[in-house]
Amino acid sequence: MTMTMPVMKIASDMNPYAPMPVRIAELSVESAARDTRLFKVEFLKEEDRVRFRHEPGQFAQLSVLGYGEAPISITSSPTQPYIEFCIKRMGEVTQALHNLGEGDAFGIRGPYGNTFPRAMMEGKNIVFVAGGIGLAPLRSLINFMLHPTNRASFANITIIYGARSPGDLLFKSELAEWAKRVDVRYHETVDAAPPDSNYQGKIGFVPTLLDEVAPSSENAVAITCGPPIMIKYVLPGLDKLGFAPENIVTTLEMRMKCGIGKCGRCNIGRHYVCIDGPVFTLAELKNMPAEF
Amino acid sequence: MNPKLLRKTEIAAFVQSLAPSHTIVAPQPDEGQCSYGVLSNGAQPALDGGRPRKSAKEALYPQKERMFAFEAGAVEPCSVEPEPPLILFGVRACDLKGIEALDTVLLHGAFVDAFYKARREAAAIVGLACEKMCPTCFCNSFGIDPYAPPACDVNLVPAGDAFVAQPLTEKGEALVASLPDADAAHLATARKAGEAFHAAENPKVAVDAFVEAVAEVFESPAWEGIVDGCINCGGCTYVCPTCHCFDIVDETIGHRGQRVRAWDTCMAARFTLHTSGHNPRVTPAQRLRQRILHKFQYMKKNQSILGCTGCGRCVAVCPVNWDIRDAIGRLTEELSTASKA
Amino acid sequence: MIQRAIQKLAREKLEAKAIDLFLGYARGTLPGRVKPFAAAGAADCDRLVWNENCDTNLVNYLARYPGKKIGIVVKPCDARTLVTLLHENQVKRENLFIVGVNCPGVKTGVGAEAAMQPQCLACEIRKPPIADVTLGGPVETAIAPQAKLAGELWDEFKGEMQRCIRCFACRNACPLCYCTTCFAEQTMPELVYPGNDAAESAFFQLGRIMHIAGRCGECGGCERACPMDIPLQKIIRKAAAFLEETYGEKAGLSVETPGALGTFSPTDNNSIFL
Repeated sequence: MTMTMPVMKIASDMNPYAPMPVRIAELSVESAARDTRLFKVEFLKEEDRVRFRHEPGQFAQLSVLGYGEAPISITSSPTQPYIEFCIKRMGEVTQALHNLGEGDAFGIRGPYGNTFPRAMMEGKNIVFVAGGIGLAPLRSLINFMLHPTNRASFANITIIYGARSPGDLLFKSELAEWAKRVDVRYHETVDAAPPDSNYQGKIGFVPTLLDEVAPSSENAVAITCGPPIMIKYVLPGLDKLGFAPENIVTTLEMRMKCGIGKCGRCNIGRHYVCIDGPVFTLAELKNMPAEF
Repeated sequence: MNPKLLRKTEIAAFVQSLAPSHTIVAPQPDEGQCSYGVLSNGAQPALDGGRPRKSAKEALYPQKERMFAFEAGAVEPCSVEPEPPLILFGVRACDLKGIEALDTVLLHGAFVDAFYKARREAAAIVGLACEKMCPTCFCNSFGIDPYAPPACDVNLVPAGDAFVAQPLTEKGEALVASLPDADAAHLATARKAGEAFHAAENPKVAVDAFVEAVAEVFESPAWEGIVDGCINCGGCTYVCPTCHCFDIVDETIGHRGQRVRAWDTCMAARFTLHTSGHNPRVTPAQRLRQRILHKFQYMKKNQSILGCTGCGRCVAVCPVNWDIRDAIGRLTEELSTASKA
Repeated sequence: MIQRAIQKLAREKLEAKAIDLFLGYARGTLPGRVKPFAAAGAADCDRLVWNENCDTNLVNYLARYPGKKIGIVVKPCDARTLVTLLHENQVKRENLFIVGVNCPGVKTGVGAEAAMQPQCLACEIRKPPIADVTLGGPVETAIAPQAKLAGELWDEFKGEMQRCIRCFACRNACPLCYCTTCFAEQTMPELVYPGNDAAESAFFQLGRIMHIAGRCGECGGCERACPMDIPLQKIIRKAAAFLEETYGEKAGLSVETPGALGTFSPTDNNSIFL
């Protein structure tokens, strides 16, 4: 017996699954392989722009109609007057996003998820450890902290960043600015550099660089994001430096559909990455099943 | 509220009288069993057809539902259009409890599912008390009483040639206002049906002990031990009254399309497959663990309700006789022994 | 009798370490049901049962134990699927100890309520085409006249697809559906959308039937697994009958030669290719 129910229509502002239209204001290619792009977007409707208030750590569901949705972290800081997403071409939706050009529209829902625990970071030394596209979610917090109105709330800021190759280092102009700043200790490495590149920096893996830089864990919080294999070696590295699990913060990803705690697939134990995360401290993760 | 009388011969006429202003969903014959479906004009609900194949959740939360339509890249403006409210007619207690469980997920939390909410709030639900339990049901293990059912507006209690229609809410009272009051003889028959149901010796599953044993468990060799013949087919999750996980996809024809939400199953490997190829749940045991813990641990902690109502459909449809009652018993034993050791 | 023999064979082979596991059936939790059971040691063998409810095709479980030496009970239809898997190099013959059972058909239910399962009514193969040991005497069964698979089957099929909920239980119950990623689970692009609309269901079912045509052993596992009781075997049998008419061959009967679609000869009937 089929049950064909009448089609229900729900006003867009009530419909938690309806995306808000945005326009690509600026598009830049971030990686040499051209597989990672930075999308600067603006809302097509003023009321959406006013309503969309995010905090570092949150994400949005990006839609290309006809292709679907993908959860993407918001890489811009709320101190910036626009929203940015840094997107690597991975699947169907991200491919569709990469096919768009400046001026094209797509949809976003959000902001979703929890935020980096800023309150516990205030007055502390901050150590960022990022690998590859893992810098994207951290960049929101970095730029928030570096903003003149917020900088005084945080002590020393150390950024340790690595990518597979020089061409994979993202946000290059910002990296250069961070490197120049006297109030930031910026360290960079790549796994390998092709012989024909004019890369002058360090070669080696992020965990190795972390060991070398050896940031003090005294009055410090570490925030890390990167590929699983990097995280696997960064966590013991931070532990060795004396960072307590409560002071190690990371952000996770999971296969996600609704983003609002209903569709039941991004759970780690009883916790949903979409509403209880994506930001977790290592102390929290240690109390959760290792199923991610 | 006064109990009313609904004679079996008058059910079709009564339901018909409600139909102009409502869409009626009731059990109907389906290949030797029965299934819930939208009742067509003049059709008789199959109230004696036993447990419907799938649960009643489908009426409030369809297997596939349009979230919005789009054309040439733009979301079509959607407006609220009143649809005839639903009457779910003849819903058994296990399914009523299932609706209560769905409510906790879809109506509550930081976000509300507007689609479910609109249908749910407009719907009136007429329960149906069972006269006996079937070999696969175990609702009694969850303290569910078909004669004191959850989440319904009217409950129908069998009374020989009629049902005693007991209104439980104001909405229910209005629904059955046109029926005559129940007479003493039928009330007595209905009471006897309840007494007979409660007096029957039906086996129980020790659910409380299981919930306790499984409360803090994740890693355990016990999960591998209960996989048995499970082929991860997911039939169980589609007939379940509380399974609510869904997928969202875009369906397109040319430049037109719609974004739909459709039931999904945690028994499938692709349920958690990342775009990168990484999958946190690769083995059948991991997926079975998810299904069981979601129902008996995660929902218990997050929603303060269990995600199982003992309807027994998963037991009935399983092609390899994977029986959750048996699994509950074995897990309780193994997990309790392990925690003592 | 057969049950005793199965228990004895399983025990001997396990004790002799000739096999690592013996796949059979154990008592189920409901009247008229048995459950698949893997005996890992001699002590488990008392739990092995054999009766007319032993319907599950155990060949479906072989992929679960790569590299292991397995003893397995097969009915003729199960054995046909096994033959197909052997031709397709999915299992190794030397890893198997096959206990075949001559089969008069399996039933649903017990006692007076027991009813022959639909795929058995039209079954012509009562002896396993492959076995190391065959149990049970020869079976003479009057075969029910096969329902004529006429044009109206399409209308019936379309009607049944209204009921399909695309849970994919049919596919998971099928030993021949061993694709690592089923076409119905492709996501890039999504070939079969989730949901229950009839057109998509028909697309999935026809796709699956095309994949198993000429390979299917007609064990009825798909139909038994269907929570909606859709008579899938009817249309699958139509595909099988067509292939038999065209190539004069039933799937999974010849251990020596792969099935009709697994071989090519210039003299093949090419009528199906325009």
